[in-house]
Amino acid sequence: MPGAFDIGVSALLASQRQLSTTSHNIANINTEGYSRQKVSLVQRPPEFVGAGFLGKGVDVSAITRSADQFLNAQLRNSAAGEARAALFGQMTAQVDAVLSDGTFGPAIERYFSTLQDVNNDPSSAPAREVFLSAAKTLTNRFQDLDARFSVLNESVNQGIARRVTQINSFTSALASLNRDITQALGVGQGQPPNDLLDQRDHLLQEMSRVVSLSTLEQPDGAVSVFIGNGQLLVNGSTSVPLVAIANSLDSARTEVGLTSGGVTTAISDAITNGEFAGLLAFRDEILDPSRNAIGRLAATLSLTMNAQHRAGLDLKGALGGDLFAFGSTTVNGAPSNAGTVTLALDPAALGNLTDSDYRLVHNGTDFILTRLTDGSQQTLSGAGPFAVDGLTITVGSAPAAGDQYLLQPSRYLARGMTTQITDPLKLALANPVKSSADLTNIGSAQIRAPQILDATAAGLLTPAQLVFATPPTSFQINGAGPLIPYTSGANIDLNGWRIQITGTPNAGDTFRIDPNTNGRGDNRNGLALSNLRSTEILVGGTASYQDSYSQLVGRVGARGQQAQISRDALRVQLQNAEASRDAVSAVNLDEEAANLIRFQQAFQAAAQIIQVTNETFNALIQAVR
Amino acid sequence: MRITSNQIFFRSLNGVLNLQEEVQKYQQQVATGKRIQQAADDPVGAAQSLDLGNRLGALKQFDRNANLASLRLSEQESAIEGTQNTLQRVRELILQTKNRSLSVADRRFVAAEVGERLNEVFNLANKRNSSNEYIFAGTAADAIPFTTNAAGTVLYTGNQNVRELEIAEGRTIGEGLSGADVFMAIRNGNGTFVTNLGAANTGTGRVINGQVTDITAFTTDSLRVVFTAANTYDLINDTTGATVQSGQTYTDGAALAFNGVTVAITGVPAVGDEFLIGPSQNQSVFATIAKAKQDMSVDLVSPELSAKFSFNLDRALGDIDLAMDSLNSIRAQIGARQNALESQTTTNADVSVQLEAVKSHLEDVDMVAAISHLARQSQALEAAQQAFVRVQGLSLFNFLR
Repeated sequence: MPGAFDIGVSALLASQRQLSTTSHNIANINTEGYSRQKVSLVQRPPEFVGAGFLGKGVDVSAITRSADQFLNAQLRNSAAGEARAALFGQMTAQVDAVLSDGTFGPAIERYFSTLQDVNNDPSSAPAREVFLSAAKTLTNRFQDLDARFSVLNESVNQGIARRVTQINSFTSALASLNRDITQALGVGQGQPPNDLLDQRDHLLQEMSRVVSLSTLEQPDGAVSVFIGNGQLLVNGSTSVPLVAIANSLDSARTEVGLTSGGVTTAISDAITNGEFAGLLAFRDEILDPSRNAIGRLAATLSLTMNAQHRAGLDLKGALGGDLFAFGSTTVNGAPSNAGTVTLALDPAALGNLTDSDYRLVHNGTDFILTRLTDGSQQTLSGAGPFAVDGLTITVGSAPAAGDQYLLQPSRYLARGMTTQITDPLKLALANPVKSSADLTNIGSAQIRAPQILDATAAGLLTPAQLVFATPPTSFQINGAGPLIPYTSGANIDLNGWRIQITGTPNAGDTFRIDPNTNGRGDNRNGLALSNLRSTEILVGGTASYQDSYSQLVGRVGARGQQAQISRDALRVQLQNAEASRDAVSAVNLDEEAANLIRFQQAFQAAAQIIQVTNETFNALIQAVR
Repeated sequence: MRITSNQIFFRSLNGVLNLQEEVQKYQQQVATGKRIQQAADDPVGAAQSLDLGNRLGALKQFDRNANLASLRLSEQESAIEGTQNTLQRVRELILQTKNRSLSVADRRFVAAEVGERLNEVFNLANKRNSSNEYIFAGTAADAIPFTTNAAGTVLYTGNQNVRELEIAEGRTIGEGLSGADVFMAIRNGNGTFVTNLGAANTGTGRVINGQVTDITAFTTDSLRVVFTAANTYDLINDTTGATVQSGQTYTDGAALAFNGVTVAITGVPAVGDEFLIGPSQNQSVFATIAKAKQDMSVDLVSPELSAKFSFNLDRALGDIDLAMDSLNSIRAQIGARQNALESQTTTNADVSVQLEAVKSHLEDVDMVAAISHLARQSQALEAAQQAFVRVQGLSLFNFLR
């Protein structure tokens, strides 16, 4: 009977293994990345007993996990895509919130409405104070927007640095798991170390959320991990750390770098998926263009307002100064550059300004300028200065082949925006000159209010006198010079101003253009300032200040909405991939419960074999006694 | 497909969480009344509603400007109306003094009243508004525009510019007229030419019935009728120095025609007496009143003074009538601007209402829809929660005892 006894023992052992594996499955129901395991049984080789082959019981052949590497890879890809879209959407929502927090629109609206209030009452000191405080609020809003963009940029940089650290800890854990797995395969004579494999799959899964990766299984059981376009991060039991480095041209941008052969290069551009890609895309597509658009608006508003304000006369009788100051354009040159370039805004072509950054590279003969938002290139030949997109690029010292620059024309323009006028009396709302007809004039001719053509003309504030000659078909200016033929309504331009005289003058009739001293109630320059509100200056002369802001809000909103939609779609895709993986690998408690019963019954039956064998043996003993 | 325990759990849980998000969304919409919480909810709508907000803000400001412009125009109009009433009174006083039965003392009392009336107009012209600005100073609004010099002449020291207020996109309206236009630039005589007696006249001749007969023939030359003998006169153009007519015979009251105008001379001119005909010039309301005051105070001791008296008072009446006409046309201009303001304000209000409607349509929640959504989603959430508990209760382990 030893045969039956051995068979019973083998069955008991097999059931025990099955029970403990089922327990292991139940125990790990909530362990992330766990793949359910199962015990494979095999009959022992039979014994030939003359009449035939006699079974000898059961053996445990292997304990395997239910895992499908294809499904795991699909899950990793889906996770990387979903993580990219989710982080991109989350960051974009922050810019959206900054832009649509409802403080900028009212600030610019209030700037213009208080300007009209001053225009209604130009000599009122309180109205002037209120306008200046509205102007200050507006500049504060610009600075505040810029500061919030700056914080977002900083959080992108920190996000990159944090994720670099995270990836490094993943890769070193993967490297040590690779070593453990290789060893375990050796020790187990080819039996898979299921739990270690699960851990490794789980680490890869976690890591792919941060950066999309590809794997290659080696014959010794280790996996090699690649990111980007083939950068090797884990090779067997060694890992290569990533580093967070500052962009070589713009230290305010953190990039992902990889050190190879002692040289660290930025590999940000090669990363296409995962949270890294989300952060980088957010920075390139949302944050920088938004910040540039705000900078462009700040500079355009400042320059156009300043130009008009300079064409006015303040309450002290002086021509106006600048109303606003703003930040400066940025040229980031490589340290190795031989030459220098400078960058300035062209006040005559403000409408051509874009919200893009530019790359300027010298190829030995010409500069090649690339607009980064759309990648369009143009060749700048000659010595310059070059006028491109509302910018003036001036070449300083001689360039050499390989010189490269990152031009950020509008990135920091909003940062330094301030109000330049604190004294309400210095608000230049009056026209600098006034016209009048002498009350002794006999003819019926009238003079119109003067327009300012050139506020910088030298003789702008020099009084001028137009006296009609006999016969009154011509007139003379300041009693000297040639007789100028008179046409009713024709433009008369002098000293930077323009007037028209209409009607029938009489000989000797006199018209005067004088500096508008004591024109304290004059608001004509104020009206010209106010007209700028609806003037379409930006975006090629198609958008007013407020239009350009709402365009920005609309654009960021649209990108945010798009990001939400694609995140939702990718989330569904991820859930499907999870479901497919779980269908193969995850634990079902009911199934385990059923198995528990099944294996318990098998165990009980095997125990019965032992008992029966024992009783049979006892019966034999009794018979012999 | 094989379903696993965690899948059952998370599917049920996700269902509950998603529904909670929906409930939260509609709850927020109902609470704030706004459909767009951030631009991503409706990017086009968000940008549009910003634009609409800007335009509505501008319209509101235009409304304020228009009200102010209307107020200021009314202030000017009431000052001008006051001036007209005063001029009317002065006219009556002149007519009163024309009656020769009044003694010189009586006429001087009347003249004193005319002097008071002059001050009245002077004060009206120097009126200030609620912002303490002189309303007739042009844009030199914080300096007194009318002053009297040592000779008693009223001078205008304001400027001839007018402040404009923006009442619609790209449309401005003058908030009044300068003091020069209102009080100073008033033509004297009959508006085209003015007649005068020679300062050294000794006869009783005076000029009457000046009329323009042919405006195209009219020139602004200064002409002079000189009596060379008792009934003979020459007509001389002082501007060109030419003698236009020579040795003409004088008939009392007969029309003299020249230079596109006719005038008549009546009375008995003495030899050497001159009658001047020149282009109309600007004469301020103040000068007109002051001159009338001076003319009516003359003691009529000789027939030539009487002749001069009646000529001057006739001229004063004519000047006052022209001033009234001029003020009337200025009031008409102000009225026209008020009308323009009113129609612009109405247009602005109409546009505001339309824009408000569009903005509300864009931004505001359809409450009925939002509340019914909220109710539906709440129900669904409740159902999902119950289902969650039910499904989680299903386990084979419950039966293993």
